[in-house]
Amino acid sequence: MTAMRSAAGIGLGYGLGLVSLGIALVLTHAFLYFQLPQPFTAFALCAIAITFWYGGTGPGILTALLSALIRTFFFQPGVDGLSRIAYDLVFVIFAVLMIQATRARNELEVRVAERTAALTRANQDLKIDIAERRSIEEKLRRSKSYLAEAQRVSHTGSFGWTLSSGRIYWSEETFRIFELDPATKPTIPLILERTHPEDRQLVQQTIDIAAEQRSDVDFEHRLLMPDGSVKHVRVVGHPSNSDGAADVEFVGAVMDISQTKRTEESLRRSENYLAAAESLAHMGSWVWEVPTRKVLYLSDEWYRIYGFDPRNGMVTWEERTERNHPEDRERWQATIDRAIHAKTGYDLEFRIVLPNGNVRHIHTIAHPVMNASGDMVRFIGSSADITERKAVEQSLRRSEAYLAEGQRLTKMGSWSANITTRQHLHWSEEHSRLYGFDPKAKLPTFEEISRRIHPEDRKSVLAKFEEGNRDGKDIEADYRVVLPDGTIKYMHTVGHPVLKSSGESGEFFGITRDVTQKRLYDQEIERLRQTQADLAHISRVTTMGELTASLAHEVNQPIAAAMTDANTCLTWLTRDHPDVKKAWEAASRVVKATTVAAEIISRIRSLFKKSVPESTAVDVNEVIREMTLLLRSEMMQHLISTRAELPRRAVWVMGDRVQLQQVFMNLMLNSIDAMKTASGRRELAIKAEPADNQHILVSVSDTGTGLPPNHLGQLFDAFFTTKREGTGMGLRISRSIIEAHGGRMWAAANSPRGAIFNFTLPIAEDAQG
Amino acid sequence: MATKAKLRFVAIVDDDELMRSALEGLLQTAGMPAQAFASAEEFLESGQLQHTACLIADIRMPGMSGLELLAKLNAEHCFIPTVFITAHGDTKLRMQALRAGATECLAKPFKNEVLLSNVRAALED
Repeated sequence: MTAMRSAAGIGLGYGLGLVSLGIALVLTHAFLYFQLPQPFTAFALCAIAITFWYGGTGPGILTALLSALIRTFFFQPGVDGLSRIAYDLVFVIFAVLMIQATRARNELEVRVAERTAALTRANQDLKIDIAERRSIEEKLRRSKSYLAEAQRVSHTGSFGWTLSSGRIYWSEETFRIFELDPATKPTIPLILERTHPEDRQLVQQTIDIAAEQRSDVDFEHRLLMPDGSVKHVRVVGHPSNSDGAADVEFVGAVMDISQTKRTEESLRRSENYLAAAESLAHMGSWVWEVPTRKVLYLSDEWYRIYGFDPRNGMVTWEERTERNHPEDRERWQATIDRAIHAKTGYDLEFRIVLPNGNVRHIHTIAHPVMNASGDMVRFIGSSADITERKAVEQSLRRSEAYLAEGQRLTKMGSWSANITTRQHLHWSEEHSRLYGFDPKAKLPTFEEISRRIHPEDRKSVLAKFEEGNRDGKDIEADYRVVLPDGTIKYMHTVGHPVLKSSGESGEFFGITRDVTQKRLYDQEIERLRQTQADLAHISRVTTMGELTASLAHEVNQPIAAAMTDANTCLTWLTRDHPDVKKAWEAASRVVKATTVAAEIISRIRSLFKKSVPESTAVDVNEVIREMTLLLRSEMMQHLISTRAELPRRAVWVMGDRVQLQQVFMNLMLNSIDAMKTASGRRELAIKAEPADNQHILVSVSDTGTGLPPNHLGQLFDAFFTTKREGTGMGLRISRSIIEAHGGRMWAAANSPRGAIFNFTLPIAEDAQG
Repeated sequence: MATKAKLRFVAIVDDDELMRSALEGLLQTAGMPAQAFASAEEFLESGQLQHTACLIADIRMPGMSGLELLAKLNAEHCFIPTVFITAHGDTKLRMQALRAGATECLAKPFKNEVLLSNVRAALED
């Protein structure tokens, strides 16, 4: 390619010679045309010069030759040989000159090219140098930037301190740590000024010693900032040339360790909290190495729980194992072995025995720690002292057992249910038994329970539950339960609404008691009470029968008066001149007398009447007066006088009026009987007085034959009597009545003769008004 | 006799207030002055014995009975014609009263005319 280019270049050179010579010819002809002096030689010289300059030596020589020929043959055919030679010589010399000029030019070009190449290389070298320098500068700048950033990030500043000049150099970060303007000139007094007052002496001494001994420094102190905050710094310095040279420079770093200090403080606080928490929770923590069984860490609480002293150093595996309760040791070991084998944690409760013999219950939870290859390397875990919890659990279990036993013994079951959703939440075992369900089976549904309730009671019981749920009030219901075998049980249940914090109701807690026995007992008691009432009634009627004559006399008195008055009234009216006023007076007396008669009859009738005993407020004084009046005839018949000592105010007791009348009647008649045959003064005394703040004491005394001395203990026995026609039930019934009213009855001898029957009754304070 | 009756009164001794009032009203229809006493003791202590023309007394009373009163009057020679009235009107008691000196012994209730005639008869004796 180069040869081809060279050939082309040569060709172009020759072509240039021809073209330029041709142009010279044309121009010469043009001059000649316009009759101008023939300029061929000048134009030829130009063509030769151009060809030499641009086409090279060969084309130049050719152009010179051709020019000489052309001039000779075209423009100077007639010119003699000398002139022609002169012209040819001109051309030759010019050609030679041009050859020299061209050569000189070529040489110059070569030198220029060489110089240019040298300069280019030098320039390139220079560029490289500049690039390298820039790179280094960039690296240096970056390095400085990194250093500054590193110092900033690490809160570590650097310093230099020349002892001889006292000049101190600080990095930007050092200024930042000291919170001083970088324009400030750092000095020892400035440093001391920033130092916390409490640390100034330490810093001053440390600097002095370092300066004197030219030794390394490494110390911490505090800085007191203008805003009052405190920084912790660590200063590390090293003398740059401590070999005895006079000019020593300390180079070092100032590290802001405030964050570290705070972290340390926080960590220390956390550790304290953790220790306190462990102590409170009675829970210690530990770490041990699985392959070697080496104990790596034990918390203080662990030491306390296991009864070791932390001051004696780390507890060995063997020492720790020895603490295990002998009965639990095998289970403990087996659990750990299984966990290691399965590469899992473990959760275990066991006992340990302390050196003083105390047994502690421990609940330990261990978590395995694996290495990168999946091998178990450590167990990390906690051990909690659950001795107290165990005691509580045991106590709770015992309480539950007692409660269950108590429920079983009392036939009382507890339940909890949401009435709204008709879901039972809790049924005690005894509750299940009460309803004839299997205590171990799942809770029966509402419908199953409803089916066990007696059909006659079901609707009312459910209505009570619904009502209690609607009103948020206590539920109380008595009902019967029909067991699968047909047995009927009587139940009494009470429920209390359990209000949730949201105020939502529906949930009730209650107890159900099997009151079958009590119900049967109550029925029996009622039957007995009825029998007693019947007996009392019979006794009363019998007694009244015996008193017929006396009662007839009592009734007869007002009737007789009434008849007399009625006839008197008629007499006044049937006169020739009727005296209406007198007649009215007589008629009024009739009314009064008949009213009295009616009252007596009513009183007698009430004693005859068989009615259900009822408790009302009764004035004891009034009862005494009534019975005294009723028995007045009987007493007069036997010449017996009566004396009553009663409180001035009414004495109210709660009781059945007729039954209390019966008591007085029995006692008074007994006294009358005792005095019928007695000689001397016959007096029946009735006295009522307060026995204490809550009872009234009533005594009925007589001057009769007195109590049978050999049968004092049998006086109140049923069917015991000293009377020929007595039933032996009077005193028995009287005492029963008094005791049923909450009182007491007893007998004693009267002085100088006769008997006293005493009884007490509780005073109804409310009725006294 | 009428003058004698007017000067004196018929004494009524009965513990029953109703009967006392009834007898007073009855005697009033006959124009007989009457004075009632609630017990024999009250009558004896009244100081009216000499003015008593006739005595109507109940036999059975608390304290002194009618028979005891009559016996006491007889014993003191104070003979007052006496008519007994009693609710226990049995023959035995009537005979006992008559033997004691009573003019009559009537059972309650009695007819007004019978009592008045007995009182009149007693006053005429």
